[in-house]
This record gives sequence, C-alpha cells and structure tokens, in this order.
Amino acid sequence: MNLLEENQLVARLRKRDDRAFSEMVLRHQGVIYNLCLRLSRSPAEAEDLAQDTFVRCFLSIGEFRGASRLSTWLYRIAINLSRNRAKYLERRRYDAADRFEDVPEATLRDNAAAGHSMGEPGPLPDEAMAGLETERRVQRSLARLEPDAREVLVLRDIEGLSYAEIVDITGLAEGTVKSRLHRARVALKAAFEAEGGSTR
Amino acid sequence: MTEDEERRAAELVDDDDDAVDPQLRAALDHARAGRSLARSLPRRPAPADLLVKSRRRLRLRRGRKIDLVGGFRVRVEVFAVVVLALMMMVYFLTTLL
Repeated sequence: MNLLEENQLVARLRKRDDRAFSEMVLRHQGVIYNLCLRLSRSPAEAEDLAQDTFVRCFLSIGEFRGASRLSTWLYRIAINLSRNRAKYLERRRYDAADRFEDVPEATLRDNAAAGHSMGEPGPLPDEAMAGLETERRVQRSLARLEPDAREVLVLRDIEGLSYAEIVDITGLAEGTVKSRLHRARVALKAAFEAEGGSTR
Repeated sequence: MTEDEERRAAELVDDDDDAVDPQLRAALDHARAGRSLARSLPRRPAPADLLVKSRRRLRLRRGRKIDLVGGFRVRVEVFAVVVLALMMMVYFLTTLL
C-alpha cells in the first residue's frame, strides 16, 4: 500500500466510514494477528487482542497525527493493549507459559494436506510433529520473557522492523532497544534450554 | 556486560559479525541462537472470521444508531428512552386531563 492510498484510507477512517474499517482489517490482519500471537498467551487471546487493536484504532483515529505509517500506529496500539493485558493477568497470578496452547494439530494437518493431491489428509509426518513441538517450546520460552524484552525481540527478530520503527513504536531510545534486544535474545536461548530444547 | 557492550553485541549479531574478545564471542553465540529461535517461528494465517468479529465488536462499542427525520442520528438506547418518555407523557395527559 503506497502512501497516497494509505492517506486516503486514513481520511475515510476519520469520516467513520465502515467500509474503510473493513479495508483496514483486511490489509493489516495478518501482521497484527501474528504480532498479537507472539505477544500473548494463546491463539484465542491473540484474536481478542487483534480485534481490540482494530476497534481501538478506528475509534481513536482522531489522535493519529499521520507522522508515522498506519501500520506503526496499529503496532503501537497492539503493544499497549498487550501490556495492559499482561498487567491484568499478572495481578490475577496467571502463569502464561504453563497455560500456553498453540495451534491445534488439526491446523498443521490441514496445512500439510494443502499440498496433498488426494482429498484425504494422510497421517501427520514425524517431521511436522517435531516442528510443531519445537514451535510450542519456543513460544513457551517467549512467554517466559519479561514483557519489555519480548516486545523488542518480537518487533526486531520476528516482525523484522528497523530500529527506527521500533523506537517510534515503543518510545524507547535506540541504545535502550539494542541492549534490551541483546538481553532478550540471550534470555530466549536460556528459556528454550530450560524447556528442554537444544540449540546445538 | 555493560549496556554499551550489550548495544554493541546486538549490532554485531545484526550484521553477522564476530568479536575478537572470546567472552564477547560467547555472548554473541548465545544471542545468535536466541535470534534463530525467534526467527524459526512461522507466520500463522489470521482467523477467517477476524473481520466479522472485529466489525461486531465495533458495532457493540459504538452502539447501534438510528436515523431520525432531519438527519439526526441517535443511539438506539437514547431513542428507546425518548419514545418511552413520550408514551408516558401522552398516557398521563390523556388519563389525567
């Protein structure tokens, strides 16, 4: 989406155009859902956060000054909502990593079957099972990180954003982002090994 | 590690450079492993009904609105209260007068 198209979309959002809301969701749902998935505790929570992000963006579009991209604004809202959610769960002593449930096996089976020429999906391949188990372990390790560390790690290493964008989203100084990122990377490896995984 | 060293380490990992100092090199290896783990997470498709659910949530937050004569838009709750008040007023006026 080029800048002109984005400006037009923002102008329509400001006019409270419902179709512009749908367009925004369709354009950004993949990125925002994945961000929420890696910042939250479960796919259900991620979906809830993503919905809240779009609704909050639409309702508070008047506060969007247009100094950054709409996607940056959405990232910022999603991160703030996930922080608030983490604080709320912390107060309720909710153990994130223990209760994390990832994508059901049926989803993986469907993905594997997508390339299958026969109609019936075959048995789940061992390789895919191992991949799913590793993913779950990495996700549980990610959930064990401090929220501040998790945010910069997700934005940089999973979403692939530049330091300038991360600075814009988090409001942190670039040096702070970098030092936090280094600690987060090291902590993720340690947490993964504590989960029984091997990085060798 | 000091904060400066951590910053430097993050930059070295980003640039896929290595360090001469063995202690820093070990820290870089840990950080690289952590980065690889984070990058190994696959992207998942958004739920198919995310748009429908988001629109429903937006409707609930905004409240349903009704168009009145003259181009006025009021929330359905406000409309219901006004209608009820009018009905009560008419009832009292017709029974008491």
